Amino acid sequence: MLRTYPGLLRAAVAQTLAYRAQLVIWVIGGIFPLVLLTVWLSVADEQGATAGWTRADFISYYVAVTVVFQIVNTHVVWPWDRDLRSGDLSFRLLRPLPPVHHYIADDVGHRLVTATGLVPLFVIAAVWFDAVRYPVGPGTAALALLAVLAGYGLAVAMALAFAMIAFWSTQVGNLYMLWWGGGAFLSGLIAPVSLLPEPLRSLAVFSPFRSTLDFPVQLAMGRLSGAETLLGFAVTAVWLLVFVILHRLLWRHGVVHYQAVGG
Amino acid sequence: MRYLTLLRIFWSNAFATELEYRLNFFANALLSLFWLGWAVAGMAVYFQFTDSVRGWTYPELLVVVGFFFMISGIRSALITPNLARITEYVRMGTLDFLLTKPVDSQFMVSLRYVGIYNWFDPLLGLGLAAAGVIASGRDITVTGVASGVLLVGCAVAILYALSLALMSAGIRWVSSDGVDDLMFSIVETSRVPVDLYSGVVRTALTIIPVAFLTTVPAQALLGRGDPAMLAVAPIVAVGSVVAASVIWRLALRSYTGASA
Repeated sequence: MLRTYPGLLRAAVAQTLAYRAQLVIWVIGGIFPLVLLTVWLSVADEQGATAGWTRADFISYYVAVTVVFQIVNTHVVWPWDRDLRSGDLSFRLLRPLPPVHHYIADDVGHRLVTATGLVPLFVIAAVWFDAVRYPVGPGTAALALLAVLAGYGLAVAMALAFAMIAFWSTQVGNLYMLWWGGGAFLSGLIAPVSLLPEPLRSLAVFSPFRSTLDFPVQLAMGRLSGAETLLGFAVTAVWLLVFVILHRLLWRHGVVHYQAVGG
Repeated sequence: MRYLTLLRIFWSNAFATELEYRLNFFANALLSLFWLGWAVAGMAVYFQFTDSVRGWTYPELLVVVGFFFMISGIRSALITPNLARITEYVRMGTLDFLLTKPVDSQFMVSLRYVGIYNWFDPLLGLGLAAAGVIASGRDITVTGVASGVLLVGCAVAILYALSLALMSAGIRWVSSDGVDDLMFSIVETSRVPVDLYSGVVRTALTIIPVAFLTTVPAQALLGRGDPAMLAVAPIVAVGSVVAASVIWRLALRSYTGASA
């Protein structure tokens, strides 16, 4: 299985690169975090530091969120949803490798291309602009990188577990949007988790969503203590395990239940 | 008159097609309501720390959010279903059919289709805008509503013109759904009033007239708008539609047909 992955990834990267101009526009589509940033900046300009967050903190936070969001915001549900309804899943089932690996490889390929474009921009912003600061040593920086990768893994596992619902409902895109929308409050997209009102904040810390944005970003900003870092990784690992198991269980039941549409 | 008849036929056709999926109808209504609540709750997060952001209180910002739902809903009901197909017309050669029809080609690519599910967003947005005005302690006035309606019309016209112009000019390099994604991002910046932006972004959003999309109509409905806008917005709207129409015709001139 590991031998097929490089080939699948190469195909996915080539496919993504075939629409280069599209990609630029798609990256501009990540504009939403920057809209949120402008509101926070307006608040910070008028109020001074907001709950301990200065203007520079908000800028550093949302610049990193914009990049991390493009990496962790997996689209894996959509091709799955489409294939299940069009019946293309039947073809994928015939291949020697379980279909899930095709979906993962496609998504990883897409993300590799996006990251190759965005990460240099991010580094330039961090070096060039005084307001964009990540004052951490190489050790913590490496941990933050690990947290991004783990966050992406968790996001994919969560989306894939969720996608299995389609076996019973034939349509999962809309449901997933609701799940994702609720998650946007807990992930740190709408606001840094430390600025959420209380019941939400504790909920966020133990939710799977925070591992995908707020945790890696605040780690890179040097705002987390050793204990908080440990908790973050523990929460990520537990949810990752939960969703991988859930996906496998649902897959096994679902694929038996599956009757190709039109077949 | 002939065009109105055509429009009636096109749209009742689209209506009949989409009514085949009735369950989708309810699913879309629920989703619209969800995203509206999502935006309203999201805006509330800032107001834990302050009473107003650059002179906008929470209810006043909700009026802007209401107009955002109106504009983006109308965009996805009227503009996207039509203009996002242009690349497909060119690729499949169906543009040739459109051009040989005894009807203006711009009319055909702009108004042939309509998405009926997307009308929940404008309706809910309207409700939210009205609720925001009342919650801010103001009355809904006849002048406010009349100028609001006029300004929303201008906003849609500006958005349409911008989409058509970009698609006609860029069709060689970017597919029309790519341009549509770009327009989505531009509309997305109008979730909040333009007063909240500063620096380079502010300049960019003045060149792309984003203020006309939601900020100006919201101010008019709140009764604190600049009366001059009632003249400026229609001029900008008509000017951009005319410019877009010229660009479309120029683009057609360099189109050589599917078989060439």
